Amino acid sequence: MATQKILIIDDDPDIVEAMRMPLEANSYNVITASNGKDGLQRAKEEVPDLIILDVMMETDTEGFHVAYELKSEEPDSEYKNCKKTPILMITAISQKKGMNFSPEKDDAFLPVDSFIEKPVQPKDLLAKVRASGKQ
Amino acid sequence: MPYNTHIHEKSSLEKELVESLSRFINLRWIMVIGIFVTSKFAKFGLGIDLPIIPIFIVTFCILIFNLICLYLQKHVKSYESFANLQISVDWIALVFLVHYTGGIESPVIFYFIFHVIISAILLSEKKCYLQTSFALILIISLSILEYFHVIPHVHIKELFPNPVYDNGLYLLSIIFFSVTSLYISAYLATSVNNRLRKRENEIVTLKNEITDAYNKLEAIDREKSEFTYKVTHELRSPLSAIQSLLKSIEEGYAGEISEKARDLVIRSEKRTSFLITLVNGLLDLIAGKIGKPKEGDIKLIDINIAVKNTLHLMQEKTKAKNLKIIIKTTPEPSYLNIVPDDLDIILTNLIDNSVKYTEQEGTISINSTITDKEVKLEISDTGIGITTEDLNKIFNEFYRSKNAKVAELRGTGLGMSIVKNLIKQYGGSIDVQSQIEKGTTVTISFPIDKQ
Repeated sequence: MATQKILIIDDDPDIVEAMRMPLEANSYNVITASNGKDGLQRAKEEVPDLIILDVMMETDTEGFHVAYELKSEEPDSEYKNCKKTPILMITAISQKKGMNFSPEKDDAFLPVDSFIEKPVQPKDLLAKVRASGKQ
Repeated sequence: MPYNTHIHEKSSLEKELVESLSRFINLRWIMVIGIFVTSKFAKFGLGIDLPIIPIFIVTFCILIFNLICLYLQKHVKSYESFANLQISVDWIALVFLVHYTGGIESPVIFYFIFHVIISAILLSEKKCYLQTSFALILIISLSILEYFHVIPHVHIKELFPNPVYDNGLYLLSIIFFSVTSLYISAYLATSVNNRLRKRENEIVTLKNEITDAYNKLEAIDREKSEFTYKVTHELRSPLSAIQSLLKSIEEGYAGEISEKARDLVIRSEKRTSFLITLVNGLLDLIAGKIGKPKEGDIKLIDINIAVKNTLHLMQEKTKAKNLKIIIKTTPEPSYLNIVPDDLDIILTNLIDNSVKYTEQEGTISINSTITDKEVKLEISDTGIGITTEDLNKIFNEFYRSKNAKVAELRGTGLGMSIVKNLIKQYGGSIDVQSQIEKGTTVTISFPIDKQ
């Protein structure tokens, strides 16, 4: 199997570094972007196998907008190559868990495949990255 | 009072005027009875030869006028003009009474002073003096007209065997003393009344100032809490970065490190981890206090499922201690309207406490009950318990009981305050019963919305 390419979009270089170390140690090819705009650009150019995306960057919800762009249903979307690329979203603890004990389902559809909490635990990160590869 | 609907937006001063007016209408009834009884008594008891028919006619007119006032009271627009009208009519009636009881010789003349006081209470200072002047004009006109025999003098010979109304000097002195006594009465009554009104205004001003100061303080307190919230929030990102980096080093992704260095990194990582818990706890606490808008909406949640989910997330810890968990929930779902994150914080804190402070092989029982008024959840453990002394303090921020510190070295001491604040927001209640070394039972209840 060819080396998997992972794009990390996060404005905190230390968080990026903390994720890059365990990923590279497990021989993933890691590329990075420090804001949503660069992230979209790199996603278009590189067509990664997985995108790790921070929610809060310049604005509190920048990550969500990036996710919507990437998963756009428009047939002539700039990012249609990445439409199938799984997204792993990084959230702070309070934005959390979303324990669904509600009998109703959430209406707001978020085109994200899984979540990981900050602070990032390497084991947790690797498990989620592996799981996304299997899909 | 029937006229309340008309005056609900009027000032307190006008409200006072309306109340006084209705009081004076009641007084007038007594006056009517008083004149009737006194004149009857004077005539037949004391044998004073009063012209009883004209006096009764005047009294009857006052009675009719008072009935009109009673009706007008509910329909009148300007209460001050209404008061002016009543006082003027009263003066005229009084002048007639004076006339029929001996003119300037009549003792009824003293009653003018009462009306001076009444007008001082009801009217402004200027209007009071105007009314007093009007009364004086009436008295002076009556006495002069009688003096010159333009109108006949009613002579009460039982009181004044020798009439004095036609004595010029007596007339002048009566006029002089009437003028001075009425004006002095007006002056005294208005000055007392002014002072009272001034006090009242001062009290109102003071009350407003206190309310303003309170509101300002409240706003400042809120601003401070919001500032604290922002500052605390800012701490989270760097702490997350530090913890993530330390974790990577600890797990060897930055290359081999010595055993000692690894130990130090683990310690640092643990302390950072605690700091993150503390920061999150503080954020929950402040958010609860300042009523921060929630991330997420109120939803209908089955508390039974929520309990099971929370326990599921804690299974690692409960298994490590080999705790026995007994759950007795209602057969039907117990629905609550709550923000999911809030219920999650409440349950996680409470169940986590039970797990933390119950020793190996202990038991935790969770019961839910539902009535048509509330949903109740009882969490009991066979843990270390809380002393009676500590029981009062566990809701204090940062407070940790002594035995809790022994059982678990680190804890923020924020959990129970956060839980209490959150439950309060939903109108619910929390009760803690505990016996040292036997266990603790926490009961929380939420009211059910009727809608």
